[in-house]
Amino acid sequence: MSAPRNIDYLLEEIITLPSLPATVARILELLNDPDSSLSEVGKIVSGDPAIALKTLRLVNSAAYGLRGRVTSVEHAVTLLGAKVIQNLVLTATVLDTLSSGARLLFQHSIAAGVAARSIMRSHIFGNVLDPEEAFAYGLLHDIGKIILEDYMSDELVQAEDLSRVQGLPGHVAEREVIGVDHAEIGGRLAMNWRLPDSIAAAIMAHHDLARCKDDEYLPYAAMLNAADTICVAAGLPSYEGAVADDANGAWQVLGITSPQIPAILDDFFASIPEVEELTEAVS
Amino acid sequence: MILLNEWKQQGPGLVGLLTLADGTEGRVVLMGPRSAPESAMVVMVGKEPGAVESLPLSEVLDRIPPASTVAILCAQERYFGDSQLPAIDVQ
Repeated sequence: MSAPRNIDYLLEEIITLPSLPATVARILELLNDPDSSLSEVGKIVSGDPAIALKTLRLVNSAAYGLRGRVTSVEHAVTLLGAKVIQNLVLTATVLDTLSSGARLLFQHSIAAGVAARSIMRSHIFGNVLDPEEAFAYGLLHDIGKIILEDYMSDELVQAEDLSRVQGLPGHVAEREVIGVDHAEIGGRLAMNWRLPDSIAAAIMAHHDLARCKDDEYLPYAAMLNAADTICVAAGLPSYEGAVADDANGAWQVLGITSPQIPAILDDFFASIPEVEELTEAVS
Repeated sequence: MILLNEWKQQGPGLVGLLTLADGTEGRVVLMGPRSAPESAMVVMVGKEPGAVESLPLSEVLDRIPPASTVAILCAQERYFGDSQLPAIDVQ
């Protein structure tokens, strides 16, 4: 096992490597500008063939339930609206930019998006987050792991081995081996990319709710933790032999009790075919 | 840590160890798909000394930690269900 490294040095070393593509930065800027129009957004997306293609693949997947095939980005933008397009573009781009990740991790990220959406669809704690937004949170929650796979693959393999041998949750093993876990790296990366604070906070705290400094974002972090737990239990983990967190604290934050869980899982199980389809669409 | 991550085959069903929210220890027996009545039973120590109580999972859900409920229902779906989830490892 390698000795844990200086965390600040490590984070500095890692988070300066990938930068958010200029096209995406421009799209996010436009979407946050009240004076911009959706047609401007559509034009920018269309101008980047890789992002446009992935966005159309995602739009035409069963997950979005649109009738008829959407063949232009402008049409997609009009049909789905700014918020969904923002999440789609962000997701397509982030996964594309960091696409050396293993298929299992892609599948897990998509499954977590589906699980987060099922939790939000239950409306148990009100409409704190639109289900489609929850989907994007789930998709992005392990971006830190993609970074580790890209830049510290040997150490990540050691951490996963340690997790399996000692029955430790993956993030605990990562801290043992690397000195930092994927949630912290992902949260820092999201902040570095100036993604919305709520996303960065949720990613940062999704394995340790105490890391969430703003109570407003705590339910989002709890949602990701609970979604992660569902995925591991459902056999869709980010690595073979993954050990689940004890997510009971997360369920408590969400105000979800056991009698409410069957309905959430009914929705999740019914959405499993989408997981495979979306995995193909983005990989 | 979720306690129910190890399942054992017992006849046509699966058995796992469960700790209820109040600390009572028991076993979960999965015998069929979630849609079938009484396809998941919880067996635990009864109120009388030496007694054993067997109840459908649905009747004791409010006594089970949410993460354990997720583990039970996902295991049942992976073993008996038809939602194309990966098969569960059974000892």
